[in-house]
Amino acid sequence: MRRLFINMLCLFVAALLCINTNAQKRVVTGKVVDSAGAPIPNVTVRLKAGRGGSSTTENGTFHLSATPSDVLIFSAIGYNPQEMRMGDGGDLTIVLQRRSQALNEVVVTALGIRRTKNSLPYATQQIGGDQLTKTMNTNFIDNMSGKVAGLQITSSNTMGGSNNVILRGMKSLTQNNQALFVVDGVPYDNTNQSTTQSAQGYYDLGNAASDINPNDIESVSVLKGAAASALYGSRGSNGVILITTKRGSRLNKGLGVSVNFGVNIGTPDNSTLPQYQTMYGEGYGSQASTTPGNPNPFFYYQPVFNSSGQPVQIVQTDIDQMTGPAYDNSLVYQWDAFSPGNPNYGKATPWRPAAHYKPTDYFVTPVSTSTSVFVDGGSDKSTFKMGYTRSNDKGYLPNSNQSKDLLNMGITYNPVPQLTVGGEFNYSDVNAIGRYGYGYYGGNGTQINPMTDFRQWWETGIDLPEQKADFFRTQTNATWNWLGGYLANAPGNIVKPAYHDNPYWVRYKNFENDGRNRYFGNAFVNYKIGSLINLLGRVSKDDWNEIVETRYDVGSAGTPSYSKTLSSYDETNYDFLANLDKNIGENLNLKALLGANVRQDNLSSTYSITNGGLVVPGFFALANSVNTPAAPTEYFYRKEVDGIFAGATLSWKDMVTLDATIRRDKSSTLPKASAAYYYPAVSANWVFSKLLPATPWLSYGKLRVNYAAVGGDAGYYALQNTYVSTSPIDGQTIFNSPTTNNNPNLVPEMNHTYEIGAEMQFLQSRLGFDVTYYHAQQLHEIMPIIVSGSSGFSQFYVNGGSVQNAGVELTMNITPIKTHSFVWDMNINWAKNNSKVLSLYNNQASFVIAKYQNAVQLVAEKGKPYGVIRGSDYTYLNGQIKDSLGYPVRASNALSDIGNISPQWIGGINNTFRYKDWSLSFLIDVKKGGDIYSLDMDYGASAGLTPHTAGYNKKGTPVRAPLSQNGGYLFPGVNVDGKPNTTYVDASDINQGNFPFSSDNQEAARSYIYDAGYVKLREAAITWSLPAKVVSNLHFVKGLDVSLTGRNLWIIHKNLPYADPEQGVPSSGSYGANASMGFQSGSYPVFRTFGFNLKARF
Amino acid sequence: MQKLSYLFYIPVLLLFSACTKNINQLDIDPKSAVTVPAASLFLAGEKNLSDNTTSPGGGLDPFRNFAQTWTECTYITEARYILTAYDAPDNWWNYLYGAANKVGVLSNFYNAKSLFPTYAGSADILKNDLIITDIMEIYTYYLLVNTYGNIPYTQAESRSIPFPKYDDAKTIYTDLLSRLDTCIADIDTSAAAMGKEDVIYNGKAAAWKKFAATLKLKMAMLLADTDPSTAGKKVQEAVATGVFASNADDAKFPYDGSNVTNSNPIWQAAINSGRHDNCPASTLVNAMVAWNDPRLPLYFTTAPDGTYKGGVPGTGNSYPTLSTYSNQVLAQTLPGDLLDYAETEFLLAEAVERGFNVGGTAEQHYDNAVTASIEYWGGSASDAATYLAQPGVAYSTAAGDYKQKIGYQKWIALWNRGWDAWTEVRRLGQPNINANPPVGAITPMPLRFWYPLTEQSANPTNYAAAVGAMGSDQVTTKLFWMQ
Repeated sequence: MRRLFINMLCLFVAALLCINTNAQKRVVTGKVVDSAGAPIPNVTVRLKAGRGGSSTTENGTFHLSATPSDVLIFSAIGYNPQEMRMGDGGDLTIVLQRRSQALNEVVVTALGIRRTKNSLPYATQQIGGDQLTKTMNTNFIDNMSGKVAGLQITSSNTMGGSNNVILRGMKSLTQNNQALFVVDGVPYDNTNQSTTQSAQGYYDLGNAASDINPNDIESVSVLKGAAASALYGSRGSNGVILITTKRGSRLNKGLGVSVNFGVNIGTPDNSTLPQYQTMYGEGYGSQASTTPGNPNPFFYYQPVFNSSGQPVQIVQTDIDQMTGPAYDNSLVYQWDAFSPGNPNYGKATPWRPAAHYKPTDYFVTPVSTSTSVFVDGGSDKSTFKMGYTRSNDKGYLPNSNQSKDLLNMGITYNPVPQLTVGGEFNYSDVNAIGRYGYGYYGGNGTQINPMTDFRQWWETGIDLPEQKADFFRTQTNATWNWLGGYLANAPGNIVKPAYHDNPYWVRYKNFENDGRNRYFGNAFVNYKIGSLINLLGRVSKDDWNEIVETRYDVGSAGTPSYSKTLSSYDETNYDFLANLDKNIGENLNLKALLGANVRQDNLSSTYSITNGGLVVPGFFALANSVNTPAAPTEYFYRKEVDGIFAGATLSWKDMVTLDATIRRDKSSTLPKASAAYYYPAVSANWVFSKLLPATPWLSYGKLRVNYAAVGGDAGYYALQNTYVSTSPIDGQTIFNSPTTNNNPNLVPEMNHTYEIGAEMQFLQSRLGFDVTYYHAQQLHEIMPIIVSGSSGFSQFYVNGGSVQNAGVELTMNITPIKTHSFVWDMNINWAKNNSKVLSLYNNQASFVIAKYQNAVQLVAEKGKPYGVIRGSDYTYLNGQIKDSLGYPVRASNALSDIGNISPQWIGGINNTFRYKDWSLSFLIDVKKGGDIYSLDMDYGASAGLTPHTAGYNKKGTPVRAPLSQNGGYLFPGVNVDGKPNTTYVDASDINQGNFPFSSDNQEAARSYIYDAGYVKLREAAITWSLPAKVVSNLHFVKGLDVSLTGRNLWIIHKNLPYADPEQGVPSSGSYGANASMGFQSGSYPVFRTFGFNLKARF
Repeated sequence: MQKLSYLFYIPVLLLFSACTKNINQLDIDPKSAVTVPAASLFLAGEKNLSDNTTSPGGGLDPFRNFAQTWTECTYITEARYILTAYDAPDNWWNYLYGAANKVGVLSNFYNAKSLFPTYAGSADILKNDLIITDIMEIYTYYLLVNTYGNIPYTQAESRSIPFPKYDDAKTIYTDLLSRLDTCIADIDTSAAAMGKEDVIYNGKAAAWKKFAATLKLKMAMLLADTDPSTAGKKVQEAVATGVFASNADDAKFPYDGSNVTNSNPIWQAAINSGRHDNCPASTLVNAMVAWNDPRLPLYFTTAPDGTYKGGVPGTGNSYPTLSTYSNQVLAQTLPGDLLDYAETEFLLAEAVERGFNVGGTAEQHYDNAVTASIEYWGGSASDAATYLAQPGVAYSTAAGDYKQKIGYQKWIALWNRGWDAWTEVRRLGQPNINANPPVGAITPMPLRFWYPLTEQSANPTNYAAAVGAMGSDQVTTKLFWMQ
């Protein structure tokens, strides 16, 4: 590693020394406009001969130094390229004709090969970097949502949180379905480290791909199908997100400097926050009834420390449900009466909802700032770029912050015309404190996910500002959830919490922190042999180190602890690529490719935790352990894949292209006998419009078809069984048997995909579409299947199970209005994926993917779409739930199919309006269908939080009033005779079993399955560019854009109450790699963010 | 300058030198052991068996709730027999079969057996090691078959069958008893076995023989209602072999408290987690109070009002206002108890009443049993004598038939061994839990667990066959020894 750095540093120094300017050249300036005279930004201006170029500013202007004999080529997305001899000078004005969209657009494809979109035989969609930085977000992945057909992104809505990036549906039943990230031709690790476990649960550490500097991204190509990504081997089988970073430009006069500054603030979207019933407060029904003479059995009736032995009414402070007494303003002792120093200490106060009990009273305003500087420059022999971005995210939970420092450098140097050497070096340093916990972990004093509390176990009687004041005043765990011991309480004598710590104690004492340093870089040599052959050799390295520390201070509900996890990852890729580009005769062009790749990666971690508590409060070190800590838990994963590949592309008259590639991989994770596997791909492309006579309505038409097979290897160490040690007892060693039965006979899995597509443009490209049908079968997938526990294992590693994904992707571009000064562009993405489980191991009918609480499962069922949700259901009569004695009749089988997580379709519509120097754009993002099980709603109902567990019935009486007082709840449904149910059920006292809500009581899990579809106004931006006239009068500014942006502005429609249907738990973690999509627990809200962006170029 | 082009060969050389010659070597996990001492696996099985039977944790071991020796304070589900909330039928199955991480039982015993030949010092040691492991395996299957009914047995733990078929419960039980006979016959008490790796008996073959005979007595008595002749024969054989004769024989698993997982699971659940999900059930506390039971302060603390007060099963119970567990029960080092002398004497008392020839009178055995229990928990012989002298407790005057007399006292003695307490309630019908069902109970007291939900989805064919053979898959479906 170190040697590589030194090599790269040498290259940098060499390049910088070589920057000089050629005296014969002179500067030209000019402007590029469209046929309507409007300036065209981001036009690439390059010299036809030699190297060097520039690009236009937002105002269409450019600067370039060249000799008078140079020919300049102007190219831009959506326009016909144009050549112009520079001549004697003066300011140039170049008019570019808008043409069939994306026709000759250069698209970056696998291995960084640039091809015209014209010749591409597979579906690829490219997004410009400016699209991703339109609204400032320190994680660019979020900004891809809705912009690519078939790309489904789910976010965890947490600070620095993780994303699921799924292309064309879930292909693997159990393994990672995440797309591969590739930066400048080199795979970029996107491991989600959120599995990192502490004694207190899981923290969402985010995906490693969010280390990529969004401001350094030139473009992102999304390779969706196997044919497009086959050259990446099995890692590319879930699709590839190909990122091309910015390049330095040659022959610029001086340095190009651009500066970005953005600031965002957020406010919660209330439609994604829980609502509460406010008629009843804390308590578990009549459980306090045991005390004789108690006037209200829903309150405790006991003497307290200052009542001189007289019993008083006390709220059931040890309960965390709202199934207690009705709020009636009577004077009772509440939690604050036992918190020394509180204004209500020792006092009875009116029983009513607190003034501030909502999550919004707990959240702080999140603020993100990002500042970046990008410098590029070059000489006739070299280019360089340097970028630095500093961003800071202050989260919406108290005491949370994430900072990122991202540094990018890149150089190229041509000592001789045939040879280019260069390299890139990226460094990122991400530090966070107070990351958000995820998953259930809420109820046992370890509530690292406060949303679990707010949604499942909460009281409207808690005044959050009071909790805050008590915590800061006493620096103790002054919780609302007092265990009791009301008599013993005295100043300074804090009684233990029952389950929940003070929510500020949780954030300020028990916070997590982490840091990750990452180096990512490469060095390459490119050598041209004649004009035909190009050789590329490259070594690249991705290396990160991470530390995660968790705390659980003395005074918390459970045993205090401190843990530390040290992880490191490194991946080295050695690449060799030979390219041939030869015209054979006038009409035929051959491009051939030969290459080899060696990839080695290592992932290791060491987890240590204190044992038996902490000696000194507030001191977090392993040495502060009460007992001797156990040996750390160590992991070390390593892998090597050696690949060779070849490809050939034959084009005839730029009209027909034939493409074939083949790759052979040998993977260390497969048995020796079957370690090598091949994947071939063939594709064809026909631009049929070239045969048609020119018509005004048809501008362009293309058909494409391809087939690819992609092989896949196994996970780490899936071939051999090993034993796991635990701490010795009585001095005796303990080893435990493995629970996964590994398999020395695995063979590679295979994915077969074919794809056909058509692309057409009409009316001078004012209307166009690109449609793709694909069909993919993942066969004998390597997976750990969940088996019967009676086998002695929970899983067997096998080749088993086949999943089919077939679907349609459509992108459309429409320009409804186009005048001299006003343009309206629309881009539409739409994708429908139908998945089907073809077969499962051993001819099983079903296979368990994941298990959730309340006996709900995520299951693959033969013949059905991926991701059936199973759980308890009702019995039905003519489609209505059957009732008996007023209660819904549950199916006798504990497991019925009650939902499916696969969406029917996803899509997005982006509108852009341009008027002179102004532009307005907004993106609407839609997901139709797909089910989700909400543990939040189920537990929230069991705890009496949700509004439907209270309120008034049709008789106008509170639902929770006894039946004798006309109370009761009427379940919708029909009696056995088919008539509507009219029998009310008693919901008056959970302590007596009279509380029917939730699948823990009389309802079935079916009641808590929701449609996870949504329509969202994802982002909107208004941009104003400094007018060209002004710019031309300024000497130092080449362009200036100011934008006001908004993200997640409005959920126009959804069916899931009180939560964001898109939100899921991280892509890996306690619920398994693919399990997050159909399950919500402790779900975080959406924050609307409003931002201000400033981009300047000098 | 042209020479610079040789630069190009650097990465090419790097690429070829980087290739690992035999890349399959990389797939050997450097941080996990491929082979381990056999006895370390036996110890894992022994410990996990004790952990699982001792655990009060929601979602594994709701049996104390069923038997109403304990109940839930808040989040009332298992006390109302709602088993879906915490998945206890899945967990109990997976833990005992060994399909769960670091808590498995049978898989460790099976692996230990296959590895003992590599590690045992001599043939007679190897033989004893295998027999001791077999006895523990039989114990574990005894728990499984009497929790679910028909279970995978002949195809279980095969290492190669992912979806084993189920076997008939009675056939399994007969086989377990005959295997136990073989163990008793073959164990060589004059030879050594593994040593301190067996933390219960330090590998003493004689102690294991006694354990096996006592287990045989217990297993045989389960058949007393439906197959009295087999039961009588086996009981008498067991007594002839020699069963537990004092508390010194008890099969106790010592928790050393060196860290959380090496501590008693009750301490883990009640103290380490900071939770207080459970409290003593009023059913047990009231019965003990009525008879001035000297074990009251040994089991419980008094409530803040100075009395012994338990929680009402099926309702919410305010933990701070009730009795909780005594310090010795909540101790990190409270041993696990797999089989003890008190239950042996209760079984012998019952055997006498059923006309089996085991020696002594029912009353003698009953008195021995109660005394052993009181002494087990730290009481004295005189405490026991005083207690037994009360008309409500004395065998001659206590209320009801022998099942009631023995059942009540055995229930008190087994209060902290949930599965055994529940099984005796199922077998003897005492105390009659269904006479005063828990508030909000959704079924009568479970007679068995329904099959794991994972079996329904992952092993559907064999599951369906088993349900067909059992008749149904409800908690009220009767097991083969139930009348």
